[in-house]
Amino acid sequence: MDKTPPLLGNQLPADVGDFSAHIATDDHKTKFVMRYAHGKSVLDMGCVQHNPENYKSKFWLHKALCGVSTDLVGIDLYRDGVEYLRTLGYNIQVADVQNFDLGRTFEVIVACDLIEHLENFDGFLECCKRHLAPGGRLLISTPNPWYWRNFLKAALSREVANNPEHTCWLCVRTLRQLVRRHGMDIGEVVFGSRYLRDRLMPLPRGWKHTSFHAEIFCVNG
Amino acid sequence: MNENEIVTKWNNRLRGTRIVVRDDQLIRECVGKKVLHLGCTDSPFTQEKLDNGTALHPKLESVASQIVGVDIDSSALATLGSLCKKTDLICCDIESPILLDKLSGREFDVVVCADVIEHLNNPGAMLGNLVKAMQPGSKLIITTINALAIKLVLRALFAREAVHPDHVAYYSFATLKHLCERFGISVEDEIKTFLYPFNNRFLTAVQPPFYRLFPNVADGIIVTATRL
Repeated sequence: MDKTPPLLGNQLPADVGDFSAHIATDDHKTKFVMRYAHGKSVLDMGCVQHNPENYKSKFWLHKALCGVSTDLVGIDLYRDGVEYLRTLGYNIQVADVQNFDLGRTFEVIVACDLIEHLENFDGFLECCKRHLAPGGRLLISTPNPWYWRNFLKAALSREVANNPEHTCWLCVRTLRQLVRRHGMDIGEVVFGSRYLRDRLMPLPRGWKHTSFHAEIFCVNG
Repeated sequence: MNENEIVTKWNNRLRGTRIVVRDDQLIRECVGKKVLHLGCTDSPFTQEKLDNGTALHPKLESVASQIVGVDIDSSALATLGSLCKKTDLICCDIESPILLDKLSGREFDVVVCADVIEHLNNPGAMLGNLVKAMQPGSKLIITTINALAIKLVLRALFAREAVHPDHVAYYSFATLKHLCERFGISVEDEIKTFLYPFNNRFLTAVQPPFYRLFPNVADGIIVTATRL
């Protein structure tokens, strides 16, 4: 690419309500990622999570990964955010996840709430493959397009809230078809929502949860 | 700002959505225009659609002043070429920079990208090519499956998904708008939705009044954009 996409999401302020010294280990996304990252070398992609102030949040995934991985590297396109977090001692580099080379491999690559921001799935998945150690796992989280509130808003209020930086939606099937084009496949899939009201809702998982998480592996090891 | 306020800020008002017939709308946009039609063969259904009269390309060819068709399937292009004699057919991957060489020296008023984007590994590469091939003021019309279509949602309720085996993503108005804007293509606020053919007579009969009330959850969306 000969252009850098605008990072509209960086204008989003951090949610001070989530600031805490603790890590939300019961959060669906944190729990899923920590299970795979425990005792492994990990690459955390898009780790700034829009606003570097999010390092204070109990949901900041990179902080959770620091506690369980043996070796953690973060990358993000948001230069100011990366520089700020580096001053705090985090091992984070500026890189475009669609085109990067760190010259090494990782046992786990984490790409949470990232793929829906991209315009080049091809470059992203090839970079992930190149950086995955044999037997390694790529963990992808993305919003569930059929989350009940998205649908109701589209049908009734004619408004749909989605992050202004999102470029697409993926369901489990389309994600599977996408990764299979690159010699990979999906293993475990977990749906989850941070909101109690969603988790208690008597609806199937494909409707009631805000996101899903997929474990992806290379078919040839 | 708390999470609710952030989500409110992210709301995208879908203004004046109305339901249309996809092919009729595309034909209206192409009358008397110089047209570039991406994915023009409807492969792998080329012969079938040509036989039953549902292929889009011959309809566009009949109204456009000049038309260029691009597709990656060379055998489907040969099939289409036997019928569409006015079209300049090009065999090329629309994500490849080679497309620009093949289109150099040509000008287009309208670029039609009908039900193609959901097949692409690299939609950004296609848009990057198009923005270079289009002149300021040229129109880009993208049609695709609506990520928020009620039929998809209802299938999800019963733990089912009917997905074309070559589709790798879904798009909604907001995501397409942002994707286009990354490449300097401005999307009109007014959007249109449409229905795909349906094999159930009862549901086909009850669909129109329902979708007149709830056009935003129809099967497909049509987004019109202009190169700035």
